[in-house]
Amino acid sequence: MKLFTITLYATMILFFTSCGDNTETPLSDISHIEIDSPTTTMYATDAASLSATVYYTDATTADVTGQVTWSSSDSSIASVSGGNIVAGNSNGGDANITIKYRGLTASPSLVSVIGLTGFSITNADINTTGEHILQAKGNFSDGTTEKVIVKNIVWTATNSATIEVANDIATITVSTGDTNVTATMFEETNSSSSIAPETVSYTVN
Amino acid sequence: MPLKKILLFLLLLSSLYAESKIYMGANYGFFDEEFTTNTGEQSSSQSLGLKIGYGEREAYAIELNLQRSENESKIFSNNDDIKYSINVELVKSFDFGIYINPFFKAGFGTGTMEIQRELQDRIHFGSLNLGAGAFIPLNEHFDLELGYDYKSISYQDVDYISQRISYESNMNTLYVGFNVRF
Repeated sequence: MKLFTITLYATMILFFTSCGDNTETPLSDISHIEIDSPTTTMYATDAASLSATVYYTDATTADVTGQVTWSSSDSSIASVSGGNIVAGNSNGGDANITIKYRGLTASPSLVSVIGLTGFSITNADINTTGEHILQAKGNFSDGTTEKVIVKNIVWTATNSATIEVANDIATITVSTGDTNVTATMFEETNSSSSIAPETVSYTVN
Repeated sequence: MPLKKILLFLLLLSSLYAESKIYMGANYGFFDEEFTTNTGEQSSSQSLGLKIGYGEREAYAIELNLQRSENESKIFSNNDDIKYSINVELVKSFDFGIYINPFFKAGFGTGTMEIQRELQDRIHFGSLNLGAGAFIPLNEHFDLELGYDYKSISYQDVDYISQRISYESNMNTLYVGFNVRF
């Protein structure tokens, strides 16, 4: 009984002396989330990317691009997944990109897509056999004409010419004779808008 | 033949548990909870428990315990509320022929606490429980209980969006209780 009493007192003394102060500063919490760019301007033939950041109450931040759910107000103009934006069609226009995580939302980011009105094929005057590089240059609604289109272009050639596309560069190998080269641009999504294919005819003697 | 076996088994069971009784109790204690984070968050306050048990004061018993732990700390949020838990513990007590019946116990529990975070308004937890103490019999039906509880607590993940972090703590409680055995 004496041993028990001594043990009890010792335990209580140890316990109460080891008790610390109550924590008064809680673990950091989420303050808000944000899309890092409030506005983005892109050409209809390009891709763009956005990132999202979470701000904590202790003033630290973290990248949450892959954790939040991305959505577009008009996916025919711009669609978004994991922060990667793709223009919906060649018409262009504006779309609001928003993010959400379990009821937490951020201010939308405005994406302005500059429309494509047409395009032309470079090297229209090939007159020797051998390899030549072809490019499609877009005509955009903001007046830009020298921008090379590398996305959503399909190249075809007739007769003895062959075309290889590597690293977005189309190389045509031309033999003697008549050759038609056609570049067709297809839309990212189904849309009423379409750009007419461009065809160039070559005659190499 | 099967009927005889069942009857024999029931007779054996009833003789083994002839001394077992249902009992109820209440306890009041002080706890100290220390988190295993780098910053070692801490919470100390008082707790109140109600329990119902079945067994012997001098042998084995099983207890179901409802615990209410006050909260004077701000760990998960600025408004951490009272912590409620339910625990099941197996108690082994001894009769050494002295005035008290020492015991130790082991079990597990689960509980919940309201918090006020941006993404969570409640956090759940589970615990592994160990304890020791002594029953101090007053008579056949009443006894006092002095004890120490240790709980290893694992909390539900806290969602930071960029990551989910699990928090754990060690909780020590000293308590005094009163039991009524029927």
